[in-house]
This record gives sequence, C-alpha cells and structure tokens, in this order.
Amino acid sequence: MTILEKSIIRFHNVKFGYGISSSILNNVNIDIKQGGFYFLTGKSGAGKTSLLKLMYIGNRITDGNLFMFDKDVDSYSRNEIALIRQNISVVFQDYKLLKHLNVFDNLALPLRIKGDSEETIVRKVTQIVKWVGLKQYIDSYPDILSGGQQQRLSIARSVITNPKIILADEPTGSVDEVSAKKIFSLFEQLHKRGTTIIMATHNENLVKSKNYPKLVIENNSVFLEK
Amino acid sequence: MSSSVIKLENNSFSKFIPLLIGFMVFLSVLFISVAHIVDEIGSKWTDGINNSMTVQIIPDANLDSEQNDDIISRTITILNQHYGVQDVNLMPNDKVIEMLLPWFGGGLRNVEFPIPRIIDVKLIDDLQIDTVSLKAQLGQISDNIIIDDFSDWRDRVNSIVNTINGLVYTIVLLIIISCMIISVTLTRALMLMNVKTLNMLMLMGAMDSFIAKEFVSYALSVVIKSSLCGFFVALLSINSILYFNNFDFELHFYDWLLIFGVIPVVVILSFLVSIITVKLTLIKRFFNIEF
Repeated sequence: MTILEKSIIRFHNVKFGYGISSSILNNVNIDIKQGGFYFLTGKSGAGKTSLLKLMYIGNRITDGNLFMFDKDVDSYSRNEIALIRQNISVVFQDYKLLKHLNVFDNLALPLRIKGDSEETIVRKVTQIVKWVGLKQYIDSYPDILSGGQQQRLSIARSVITNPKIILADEPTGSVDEVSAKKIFSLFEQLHKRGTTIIMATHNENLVKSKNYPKLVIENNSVFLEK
Repeated sequence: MSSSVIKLENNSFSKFIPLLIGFMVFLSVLFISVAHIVDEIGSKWTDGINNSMTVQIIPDANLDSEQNDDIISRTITILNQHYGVQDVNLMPNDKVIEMLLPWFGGGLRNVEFPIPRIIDVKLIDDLQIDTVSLKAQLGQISDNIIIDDFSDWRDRVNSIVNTINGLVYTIVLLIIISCMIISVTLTRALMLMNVKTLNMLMLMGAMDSFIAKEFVSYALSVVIKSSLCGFFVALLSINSILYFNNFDFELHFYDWLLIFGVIPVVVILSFLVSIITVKLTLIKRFFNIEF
C-alpha cells in the first residue's frame, strides 16, 4: 500500500449537529488519504468549518464513526486525543494568533506543549521564522504585522511541530492576491514534504487552477470530486 | 513562584482579587490571635484561683466567743485531715476587714459587726477535692460554714472563653471557605479572560496537566503573594496593638504555629479547589473548542 492509499481520516455514516434536531452534516462517508492535498468547498454556512472542527476533534460527532490514524476516535482516551491533536494543525482565516505573545512565543507555544527543551525551541523557531520571512519580527507582537505576515506566522506556528495533517480554513481569505500566492506556495511545499492538507476555500479560480481532489459540501452531505 | 510559559492575561477584576485574599488572611490571623489573647486572659483569671478555696465561718450570735473559736479550730482540723488539702491558713481578722472595706466603708472598724472568719485553703495541684463529703463533715460542726471552691466563677470564665473561641474559629473557618470561593472565582475568571489561549492550548494538544499547571500556578502565585502580605500586615497590627496598649501577653510556639498555619491551609486548599475548577472546565470544554 502506498502512502496515498493509506487512510488517515475516515468518516463512516457521520452525522453532526449542534442540537438534537439540528443537522449540519448528514451521512458523511469520506476517506482522507495520508499525504493528500484536498480542497474543501461549499457555500457559506454549508458546514466547512464544522467538518474541519470534527477533523481536529473540536466537537464530537452526533452519530456514526470517525476514524483517525486507523482508530475510532471514541476509543481514544483524553490524553490520546491530545496527542492526536498535536499531530493536526489548524490555520484559520483570522489567524487566531495570541496577541499578548510576541512572534517568538506564539511560535514556541506548540513546542512547549510538546515538551521540547528551550534549546530546541530556539533552534526550531529561528529556522521557521526564516522560512516564512519574519526573522526581523521575532520580538514583535502580532498586531504590528500585516495580514499576510500574520497568516504566514499562523502557518509557521501550525507547521513548527511537523504535524501529519494541516487543516486550513480559508487561509487566503483575508489577504491580498500576492500574499495569497505566497501562502499557497507554503502549503504546497508542506504537501511535497508529505503533510496531508485539507484546505477550505471559496476561491474557485484557485481550485480550478490546481489539480487536487475536492471535497464538496452540499445539502448537508459531503462528496469527493477528483 | 509562577512558572507560566503562556503569560496569562489578567484584568482589573483579577488584580482586585489579591487584595481580597490578603484581607481575608489578615482577618484570619487577627481572629486567631484574638482567640489566643482571650485564652490567655481566661487562664490568668482562673490561674489565681486554681488549686485554692475559701471556707467562711459566720460567727453564731447565740454562742460565746470560746464556742465560736472552737468551731474554727475544729474546722481547721477537719480541713487539714481532708484528702487533697495541702495547707490551711486562718485569715487574720484585720485582713478580712480590709477586704470588706470597699463594700462597707471605713466605719466597719468601729462598729459591732459579726465579721466572718475566712480560712484560706491551698489544695494539692491537679487533685480533685471531694467538696461534697467536706461540706457534709463541716455541716456537722455548724450550719454557718460555707465552702467556696470558685467552681462557678471558673465555669463561667471557661464558658465565656470557649464561646469566644468557638465564635472566632467559626469566623476563621468561614474566612477560609471564602478564600476557597475567591480562589475558584479567580481561576474561573482567569480561564474566561484567557479563553482564546485556553482553546488554542486544547487545539494544539495540550494535556490537561499542562493547562492545569499554567492556570493553577498563576492562581497560586496570586494567593501566596497576597496571603503573605495579609499575614505580615496582621502580625504588624497585632504587635502594635499589644505594644501600644502595654498588654502583657506572649504568644507561645504553639500559638505561632497556628497563626503561621493560616498560610499553608489557605494555599493548599486554594491549590486543590483551583485544580478541581480547571479540571471541571476542561472536561466541559475538551470536545467543545470554540473560537
């Protein structure tokens, strides 16, 4: 079995809603392959964010089975789920940077959670700020960075732990065209390194210009378009 | 003390909480000290009358002085022979008159008045004397012999001291419970103020123990600092009060231990309630990460 044939996230008859009667996602059956790059599309409010949230186990499914790393999520302990989350990074449209921490501390946070030594943290942070072109801002606070820089910082934070999966929720939605291209190229570099990427986007041109499979959400259901 | 790596944010509310905790500890220390001072006052009052009693013999007007003297000497003999009695002293008449002067005035020396004879009885330390049998024996000599072992007075003093102590320790307990409630409020407020950080920590896969350590160590550092401030201000206040009012009181090692004990009690209980608060919040939020 090649890497791309191995399933990393699998939804089996999954239902999800916020109340008893509410149903945002119904009967979802999708298979995310390890090392794949997927676009996630659908109208606003279709449930893209909810689907991503289920993938980072930020919410529990209402019904069905969700398999992550070959095991049903329900069978994982809380600590195991925390460890799974360490292997999944999320990039948000509005960056979700911690404004009271400077660039260094924002980037160091996931490493500190993993328990890396301060020496390793300094080395990794120094490397990654160079990669995203923010070396000169290492002591600055996120507020003084432009939208594109904040998004690059957010991507840097999400990849610094070398996660197996990156979930990106409209990562280019708040930045200009030039920054969007730079940001997308960062995702492609990560994909080439073997990271599984699922990117929710409204940008039809971007989706059409790339030959990646598409997860489409329509009428509370999700299907895969190759 | 705080080894936080995530630099938690706080606001004016959480800045006000240390003052509140400091004040609570200040009150606790003050109240415990008051309890000890009351204890000491009670002891001083009762120490003077412990292991002693008086026997009062009212002269019988129907008997002559020889007969009255005979009653006195027989009483002294019985007292000397009674188990638990160490020493018996007949108080001179002049001294008795002196004691009565405040009540009867200077004219007492010049009037014919049946002055009672008082026998001061010293008892062997820590030995319970059988006053019932003594009363019965003395009753056979005369009906005018009264024994006063100060037990009523002692009981009343002890009862007052115990009531004050009970009240004070109840207040201290309530204050400590208030400190716990404040610690819970502080921890919850911290988690609410840093909800974005909290969600980010959970999203990044932080274990409960990591998150708890961050929030609890912050809350605990606030509690320790403010407790110490409250404690030292209280010590200063107590010493000032005792010094400027010339109170002759001394707090013993055990008293100091109890007073110092306020801080570890507050800190340990705060630690426990904070950790429980964090864990309960994490249980609720673990599968409900909202941004």
